[in-house]
Amino acid sequence: MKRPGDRLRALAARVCHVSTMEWLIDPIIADLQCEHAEAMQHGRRWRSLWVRVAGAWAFWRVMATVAIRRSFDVPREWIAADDWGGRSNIWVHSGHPRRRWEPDRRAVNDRAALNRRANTPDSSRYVGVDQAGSLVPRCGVSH
Amino acid sequence: MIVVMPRRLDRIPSLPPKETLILQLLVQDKEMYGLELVAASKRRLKRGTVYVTLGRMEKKGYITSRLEDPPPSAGGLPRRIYEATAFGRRVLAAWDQVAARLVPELAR
Repeated sequence: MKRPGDRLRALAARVCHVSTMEWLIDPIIADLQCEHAEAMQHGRRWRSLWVRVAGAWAFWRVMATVAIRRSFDVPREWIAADDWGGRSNIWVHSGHPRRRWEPDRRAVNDRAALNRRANTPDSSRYVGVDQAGSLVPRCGVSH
Repeated sequence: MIVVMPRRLDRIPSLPPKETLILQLLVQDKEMYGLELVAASKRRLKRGTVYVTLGRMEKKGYITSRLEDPPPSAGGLPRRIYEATAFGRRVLAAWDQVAARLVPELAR
């Protein structure tokens, strides 16, 4: 029999980092399960229902916080890893750490795309913005 | 006594109100888990935010945590128990002193 919170934990394990699981998700689920078990032991069905709802609410609040924080961290990591120095890039990404949308990286393995690239002005594909604010055309694989 | 220092201390430690409250509760009651803190705070801490705050405080070195023994009957996950570190206690004491000097009306 599944305990309350097991499905939420399985879901989080698919999208969250191990450290996030250890420090944020697991304590929520553990508290939820312990509180639910206590309520059930005392035969308090409404209390156990409330514990499940409140635990799920806490879980989704934490997931939202993690997603928001991650969406700020990812571009920062890219900028830090950018060997072009003080230039930052405009990126569109899904917010999911494992499903970043990186069109240039995918396209580089595609010979047709490389040929198209050779015949296309850089500025139409990918535009970087340096710190002075001027638009700088860029191409190639980003790091 | 567990002594945990933050990894790098390149600026004066900050102590926002919620972290102050958590530290005060942990200093009073020694060890507590997340929901215990929420219950003891009389609605000043929320379930959805307390774990994020606790994680941040642990990174800062104010608190430390350990896993409780898993519950024998339910077989669920073990709870995480939090405890104030010596550094956290020092920061709280210093913060109280500063608050008392700057705003005597608000001092504990």
